[in-house]
Amino acid sequence: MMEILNNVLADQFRYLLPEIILVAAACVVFLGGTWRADRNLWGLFSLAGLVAALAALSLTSDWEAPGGMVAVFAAPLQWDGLTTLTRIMALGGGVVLLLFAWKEVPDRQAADHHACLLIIVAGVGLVAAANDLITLFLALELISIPTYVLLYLPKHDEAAQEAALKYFLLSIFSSALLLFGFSYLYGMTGTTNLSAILHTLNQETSARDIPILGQVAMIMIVAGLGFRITAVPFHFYAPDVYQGTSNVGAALLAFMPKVAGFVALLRVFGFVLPDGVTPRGGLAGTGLSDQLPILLWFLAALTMFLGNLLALLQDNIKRLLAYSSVAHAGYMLVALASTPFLYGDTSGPNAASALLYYLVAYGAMTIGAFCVLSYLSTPSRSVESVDDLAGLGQSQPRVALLMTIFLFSLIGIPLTAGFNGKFLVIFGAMAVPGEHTHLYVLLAVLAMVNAAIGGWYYLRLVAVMYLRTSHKPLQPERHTPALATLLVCAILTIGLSLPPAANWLLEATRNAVAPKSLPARVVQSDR
Amino acid sequence: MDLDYRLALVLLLAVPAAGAVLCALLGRTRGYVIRWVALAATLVNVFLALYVALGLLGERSDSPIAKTPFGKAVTFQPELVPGADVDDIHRTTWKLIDFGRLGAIQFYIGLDGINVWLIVLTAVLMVPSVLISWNSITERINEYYAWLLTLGAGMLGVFLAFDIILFYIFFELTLVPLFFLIGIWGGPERRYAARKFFIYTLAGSLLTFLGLLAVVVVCYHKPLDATAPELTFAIPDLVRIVNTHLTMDLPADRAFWSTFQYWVFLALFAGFAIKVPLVPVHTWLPLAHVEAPTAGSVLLAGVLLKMGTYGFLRLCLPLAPDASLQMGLPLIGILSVIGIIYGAFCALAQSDIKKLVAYSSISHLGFCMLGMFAFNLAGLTGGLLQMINHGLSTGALFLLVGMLYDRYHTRQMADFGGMGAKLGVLTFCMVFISLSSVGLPGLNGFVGEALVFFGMFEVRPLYAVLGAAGIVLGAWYLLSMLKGVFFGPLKEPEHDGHEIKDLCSREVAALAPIMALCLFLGVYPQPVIRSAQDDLRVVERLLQNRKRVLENQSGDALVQKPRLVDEPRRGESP
Amino acid sequence: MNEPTFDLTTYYPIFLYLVVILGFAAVAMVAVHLIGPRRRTAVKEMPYESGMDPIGDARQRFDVKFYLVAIMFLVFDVELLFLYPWAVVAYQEGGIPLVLRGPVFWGVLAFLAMLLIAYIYDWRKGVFKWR
Repeated sequence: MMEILNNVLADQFRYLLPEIILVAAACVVFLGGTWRADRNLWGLFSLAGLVAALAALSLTSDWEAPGGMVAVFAAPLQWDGLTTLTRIMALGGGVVLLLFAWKEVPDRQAADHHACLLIIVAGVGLVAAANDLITLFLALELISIPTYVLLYLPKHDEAAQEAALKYFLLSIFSSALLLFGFSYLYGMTGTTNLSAILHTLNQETSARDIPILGQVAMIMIVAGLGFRITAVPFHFYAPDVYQGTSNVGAALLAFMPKVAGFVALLRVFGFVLPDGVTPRGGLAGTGLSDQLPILLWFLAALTMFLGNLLALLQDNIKRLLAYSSVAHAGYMLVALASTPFLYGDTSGPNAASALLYYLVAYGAMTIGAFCVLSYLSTPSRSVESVDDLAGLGQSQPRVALLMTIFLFSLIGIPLTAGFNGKFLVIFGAMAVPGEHTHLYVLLAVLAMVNAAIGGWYYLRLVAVMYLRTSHKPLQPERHTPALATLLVCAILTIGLSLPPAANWLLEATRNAVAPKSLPARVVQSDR
Repeated sequence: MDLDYRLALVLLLAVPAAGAVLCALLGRTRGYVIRWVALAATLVNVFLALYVALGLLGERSDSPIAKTPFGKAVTFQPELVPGADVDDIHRTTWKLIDFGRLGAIQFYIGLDGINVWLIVLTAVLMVPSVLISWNSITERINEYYAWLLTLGAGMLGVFLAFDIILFYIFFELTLVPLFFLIGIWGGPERRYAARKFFIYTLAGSLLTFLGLLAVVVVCYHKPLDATAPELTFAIPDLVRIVNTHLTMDLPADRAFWSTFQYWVFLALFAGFAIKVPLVPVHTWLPLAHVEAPTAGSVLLAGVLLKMGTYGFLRLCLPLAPDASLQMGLPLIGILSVIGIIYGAFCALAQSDIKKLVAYSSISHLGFCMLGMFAFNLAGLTGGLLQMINHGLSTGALFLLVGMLYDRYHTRQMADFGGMGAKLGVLTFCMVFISLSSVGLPGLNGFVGEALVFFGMFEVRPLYAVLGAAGIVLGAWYLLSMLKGVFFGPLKEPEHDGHEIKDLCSREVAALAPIMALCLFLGVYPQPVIRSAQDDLRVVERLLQNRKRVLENQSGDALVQKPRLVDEPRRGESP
Repeated sequence: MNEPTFDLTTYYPIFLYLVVILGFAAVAMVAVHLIGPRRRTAVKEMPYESGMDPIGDARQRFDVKFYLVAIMFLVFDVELLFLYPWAVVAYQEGGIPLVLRGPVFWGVLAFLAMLLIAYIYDWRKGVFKWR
């Protein structure tokens, strides 16, 4: 028994290869940057690091994680479909953001910036793999700390300072909340292993007799992670920070923490677990199974409405996109809120897979939209207000077309990934069976109302680009890496809505959340 | 030439789409080539549409009703399905989004009696849309024709789709090109009009989308065969499953299905009523019509509004028959009657000819809805015919108004007078089309309207009488417009002195086919009526079955609904 | 499951501790007051003779170099915190299991390497240059 356990622990390092490569590459870039300030050199090196990590991932992800249930109940990390998919999302996002950052970051800051980016990517991968509260917390911090640096690096004005400081303070605050929640989970169950915690909560033990502890834990965890996914009421930093920081910083903030936050929520609440850990999956059966969906329901509704309504009032594009990212967090929360009721059913409508699908789609279209702003900006003139885009359809027809694709995808017009994402999310919410059907149909109606509100302000941008003329057309310089980012995002946005890519992604998300059967050697860890 | 019908059906969508891409790629400068490419694409499409229509007539040897065993729920039966299943040629195997072993969203298109003539109408109206824009559109020509052809592909897709999600995809996709067509090439208020149009229809169709998904989910949760759950998005399957459940009429499920249908009806109503448009949600229409370029108006009035009525016919009536019977008739009946009369009075009050035609659309679409919500074969046939007739005559009216505007750059009736002396051919066409729109016997409008009122008289005579008043009003506003603009002493609006010529051959070519079709359908509408009969009977039978059941269930529930005035109750002994 | 009994007497060492602390503080203050020599000058009257002025705005500016040194110190402090426990149990009977010794050893080395890299990074960035 101890033998197996020790072997499992010793084995963990092999699977960590992609993250090890990323951190090693980051170290080299950090150090090397102090000798040579060259964005092309360090950009290429970081790109090579990301590609190497992807290659390592493709080598390691095929290995069947050994140890069965022992691994599940003892190892600090677990290697299932969700881990692999999240790592692919993080690495892919890393490549896109790296190309995006090429232009925005000056030579002097390039090395530090790219190294921070690599560490963030590694952190997101580790969040997905975490099977232990401490590992999870450390992985989340591995994302946060480089983010503070990254927000401040490309721009040094007062707004950027404010953005970095605001994010720093609030992030620390949210981490504290999260730790507080984790401590309650530990107090209730006496273990930090996630699977063991959920298993224990599902047993007939004294921990179930004190539901208030569980509720405090739940609320604190949702609050702590809610900061990362910009859920209302933890969203209020978003507009200021997005506006203050560089475009690439905003794009990164819109994507990476959301991936990490949602995956962490899936993990902590046990929505993705191997078969047999708990009888019905996740928190079902615990005292929390009733309250959690209600909490998420209200959070989703509030987040959608607040994000969309406030976005209507914005004249600054980055603020508008910040509120739009809040709104999209709301749509994803709809999926998260319906997940507890569709656990395990991966053939029909499935909310957890819809959430992951939406994350990918959202990443492509949002990073794309920010990249358009970055592409159009020149050192002398940065694109800030909505009016700056006037007449883009005439002066820059190709860039305008790309922006239109992203915006229509954000609205959710068919033939874009955004539509498929919304469809899957709503489909999941509509398919919630049993007594909660009415609540979730109502949530779906609210989501649709919000999609219509969202249509108004995204369409405003399209209208400005095509239906107005500009007195001072933008004169962007041609820039290959940024253009590559735009094309990749556009291809993903369109391609992921059509077969066969749409089906690949759907299949991958379904596999990621499908309960995996493990060898039957069920051994519970000693506590 | 031997072209596979199924391939032709795919080409019907692919040709305009490819044409659009080609136009967009040709660049801004090659206007001449682009126009010819667009014209060629639309002409090919007319050929393809007629070809598949003939193909359908040849294929249809037995009606869906005859094929369905007695006692089972009938359903639509599309023919010429591309990628057809070997076992059942009315289903497809082409998948869009695969949900694994349970099912998939499919690329399921096909033809039946209901959509075939709408396809032909769309294809035919695309040609004059290209021709009318020939000289009047000079800016950003490549984008213009690209959007126009995309719009064409989208509209054809809506009518062809037999998968509920595919239907919605095309339904939404028509918004994008029209948004740009109105917004870029429209009149002075174009930006506001484009955004209003887009948001209005988007908001409605998002709710419709929920209704459609609800049907899919309920059919998934309540499979006919509990051992083999199935996730289907095919409209014929969904109609079959819903109506089989209704026919089984399990007491435990009765309350569920009843409330479910009400919600589905309301959700579908939200989107389709905005599209039709019915009266309280019609305000986007006059604005969009007036601001749109002529081709946009033609397609908007001629085809896009039909997507709403078609949606009612294809989805709302079969998927929520009880709700349509109990709630639809009073609600939609009253709204349609209000629309007919209100639209007519609004038209009467306009000084702008284009606005007059726009409001006449609201009035005419009311007839269409009234016919369909009579729930009998005459009404349904009349409604379908009215869709085609309105498409032809209103499309042509917008063309004529556009031609007048191209010459004088004004549309104010007060500016014109006695144009008949100056523009003889245009006047002849205008009179001809106006008479068809008014419903002169011998022209197309008459047949549809007559059938609609036959149908409605059986169910609610009051609505029919009130609706018929709309015809009189229609004659009033159209004829007074004719009198003011084309007859009497000559009065030309001020223009920059260039010579005003009568219709050129391009314009005649745009109008002639429509006028020919108007005459043909007025004299000999049988081909349309006969080919649509079988499929309309499917809808009719679903509805009539439910009507009988509902009447038995709650002791003549339908008759007990409140009425506008006291009238003798049919089938009641004094 | 037994009802946990709550017995205040088990906490008596804490109370004892409290008494001792409070007593020591009181005795020290009183003793200083009684036997300390006194020269009353302005400087001597301040609570901290060579420190900060305790009265005034608390938000005074410090040179950022102090922070840098403090952070560097913290890093090495934490390093010791990790290394001591590892060194104690690394090769002890009942300490780290045999299969894990290798991975943990390399882990510690990686940790040290990381610190080294951080150190060099600080050096190159000029953290150690006093002005």
